[in-house]
Amino acid sequence: MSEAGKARAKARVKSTLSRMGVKGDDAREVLLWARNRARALRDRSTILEAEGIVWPRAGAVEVAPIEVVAAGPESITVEIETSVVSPGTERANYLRLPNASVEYPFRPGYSAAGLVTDVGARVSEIRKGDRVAVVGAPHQSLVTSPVGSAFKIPESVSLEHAACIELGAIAGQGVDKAAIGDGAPFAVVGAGLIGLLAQRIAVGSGAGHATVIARTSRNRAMFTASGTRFIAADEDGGVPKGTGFPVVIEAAGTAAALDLALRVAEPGGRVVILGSDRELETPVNMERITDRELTLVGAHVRTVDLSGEGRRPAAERFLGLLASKALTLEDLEFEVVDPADAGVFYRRLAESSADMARFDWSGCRRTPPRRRVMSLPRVGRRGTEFAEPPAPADAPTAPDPMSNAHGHAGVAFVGCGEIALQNAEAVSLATNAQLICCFDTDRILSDDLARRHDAETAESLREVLGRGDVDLVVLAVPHHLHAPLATECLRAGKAVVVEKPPASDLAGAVAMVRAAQETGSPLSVCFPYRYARSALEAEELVRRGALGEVTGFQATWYQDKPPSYWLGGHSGRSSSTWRTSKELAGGGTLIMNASHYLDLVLHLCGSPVTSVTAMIAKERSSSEVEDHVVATLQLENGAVGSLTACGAARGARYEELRVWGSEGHVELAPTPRAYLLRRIDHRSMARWQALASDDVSFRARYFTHLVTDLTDGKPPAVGPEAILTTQTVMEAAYQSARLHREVCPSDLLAEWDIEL
Amino acid sequence: MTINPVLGYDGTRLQADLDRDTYAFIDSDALATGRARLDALVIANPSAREATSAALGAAEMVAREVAALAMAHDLRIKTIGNGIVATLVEELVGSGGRTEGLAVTSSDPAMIRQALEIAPDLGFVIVAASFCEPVGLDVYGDIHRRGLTVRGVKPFARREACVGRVRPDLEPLQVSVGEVFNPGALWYRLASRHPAR
Repeated sequence: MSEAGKARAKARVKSTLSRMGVKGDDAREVLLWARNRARALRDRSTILEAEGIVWPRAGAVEVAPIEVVAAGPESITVEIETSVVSPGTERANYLRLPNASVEYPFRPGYSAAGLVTDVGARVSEIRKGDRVAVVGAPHQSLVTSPVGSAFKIPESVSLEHAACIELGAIAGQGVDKAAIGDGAPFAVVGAGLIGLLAQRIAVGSGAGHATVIARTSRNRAMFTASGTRFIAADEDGGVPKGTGFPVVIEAAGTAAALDLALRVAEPGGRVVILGSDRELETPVNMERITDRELTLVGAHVRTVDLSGEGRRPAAERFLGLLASKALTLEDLEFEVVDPADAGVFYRRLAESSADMARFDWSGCRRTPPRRRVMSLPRVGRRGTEFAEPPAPADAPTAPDPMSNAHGHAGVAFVGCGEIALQNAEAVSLATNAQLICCFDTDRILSDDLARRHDAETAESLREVLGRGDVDLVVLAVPHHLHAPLATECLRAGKAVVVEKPPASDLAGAVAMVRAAQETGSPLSVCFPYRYARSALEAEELVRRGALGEVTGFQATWYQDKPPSYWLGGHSGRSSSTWRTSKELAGGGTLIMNASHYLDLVLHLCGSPVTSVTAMIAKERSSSEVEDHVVATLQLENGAVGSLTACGAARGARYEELRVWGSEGHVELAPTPRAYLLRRIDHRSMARWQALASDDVSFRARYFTHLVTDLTDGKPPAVGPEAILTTQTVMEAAYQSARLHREVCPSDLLAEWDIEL
Repeated sequence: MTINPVLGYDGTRLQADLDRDTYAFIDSDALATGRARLDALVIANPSAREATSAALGAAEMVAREVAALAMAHDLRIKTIGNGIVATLVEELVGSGGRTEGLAVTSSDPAMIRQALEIAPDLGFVIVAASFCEPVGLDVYGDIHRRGLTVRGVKPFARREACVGRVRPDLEPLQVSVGEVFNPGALWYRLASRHPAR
């Protein structure tokens, strides 16, 4: 079938699939599935499972399960040990430079080596078990290649060095085009892998003294160790006066390198372009070419195909030079990349901070299972960019505090209003806590809560604190009471949980932390969002470095609080107007609602806040506290983030919480999911995938973990540090809004002379 | 020497700081670029005839080198340019040669880009034109990937005067500095406003 015919057929199939609702990645999977089966049927072969690096779209890299059609009559199947990165070409393709066209999904890779697992019926020169190097092999664990592209590796040559075969052929054909006479001096511009191979192949083939000129001294030692002269060109590409060579091989692939090559070529000299930038217009100093009568030769490896010579002679010579030791690569410092880190690697390659590298496939399964030709395509198996992401079947799970629960704590509630209902329910679900008694100035509320949980009603705080069976007091009272009541409870030797926020102001937070320090009694603040399964998993991913360096975050909370909220909260369980008072509540939306999210993002980011700039606004004249806050925060590690909260966004009920870094991104709301450049366990790369969802109340998990810690004599995980951090940042935000300037939280805390 | 062509409403003028006994010879291929400055072969000789002969000798040297390259590489040359050097190249190279080669005598960057585009894969392009500034080329797409060979030949304007012939059929158009002239000749002999004779 002609190319145009194939394209038409492909378009028809795509259109049909689209009508059936199979689009995007799934459509591509189906097309690949069909193509592989057509090939397998044609060759009377079968289909094998493997893993390979796939670029599903621009910038995205994943190691995905792939299908490989097993060897046909004139091909071989090779289990790849290692595949070498062609830095210039792969960087250009990854960056989609103007002259590098890539069609997605794209499978990068050109040069590999491994063991033959299968040979076609008409193949005689290569046998099962042979070590071979494969030209044109993509980065994958298993490759089926035409026998003409495979080369038996001489016994004395390692797989790692033989895997450079395509690069060796590229460099070798460039050296041929350079036509360096026997013993004649020459220069190479560029000290990367191609430059190094070109220099060594030329010398190994009889050329004279080599000089390498480069702007970076990165690989200098590898050249000078073999006696090669190394010239470090200065920032402007300048080289010492009098530098001149009859032959110059440009192997850096930049416009500056070409200019440098033209500059150091002697009159009548020859400049071979082995590397090349991919720009559509590279400035070329033609005056230098004409005035010095230079010859410029294009030496892309494709030209050996155009000439009919093919890559085989250059590839065979490369292996021959390695076998005879005329070419040695022992000193080359290849970065060995786990394919699971391919996403991060290509980002580094794009920034030119990676050079000589190879993927190590030895960790992939050794014996690929054969698949039945009629098995179904993998539609929807790996997740897609925008669709609802599937959770990986065997996703890593963060340690669940519920599974390790032990100990026991008797719990008393002081304050039995709206939030106490939720916290008491959570205590009842915790396997190591028991609600003993309840106290509220409103007896109806304490009686109600006690009745719900089969607990007793206390007449006073003193009675609560006097009970020997109460280990932990939960304070669910208006904000201004947190500090004095917590201090009193701590001094009575009880462990204390204050409902968020820690206090109505920083002075209160400092006072309760001081009381905890003086008494040694444990103090915690109820920031239970940290204990959502998705948050625990996100924390685990951050801990394992899956996000790389955390660089940003966003926390957004919008709600439309009804007017009744200000008189009795959401439920109306306890009527009071304290929420509208700046003095009693400490603030509005920021302190009442957004403090949860503030704690969570700061906890995940793991870096102190160095600067806060905020603005607040209120919409009701009857209230003293803000309805709307917008804050920008900068962290010590350079990350920046924003916090936006509004309790008066008409009709809204929306949360968004995300933290991202150089290598990944976790979204906890609205859809708990993660996007990673590295493959962590069995989590796919470069695809959004769901984080674990909650099976039990995260508040219950918070109380369970707290009691376990108390039992083990550990300080509470959400303790004084979280209290002071959150309260200080909120105080800084209020001060920033008041003063209309940036505020540094550590300056505020310094006034209190308190250390953790 | 650098010549500055100035385009006015009434035509083109060439500005240069020329001595009385000096002539500047300009290939029309150098004029076609629309550049603000261009190179010229300057010959100090009070005799216009002798200076012209020497300049023609220099142009013939360029053409001979192009022809020698064509012969060495068995090229069937197609010339990209219309000036004196292009004319002499076409006189020297025959229609033989097994592979197509291109000889660029035009200093117009678009012409060299076009030459690289139309050159066959693995082709040979000879460039014998003067350029005052870097030229933007598709180095990857045209030269590197298609395996072109680009050979520079020292251009006419950068040559030394040498013994040449007198060719009445190839007489340059004499132009004085600052004088309006109409382009169309193969080449030009630029003289000061008050030449020696």
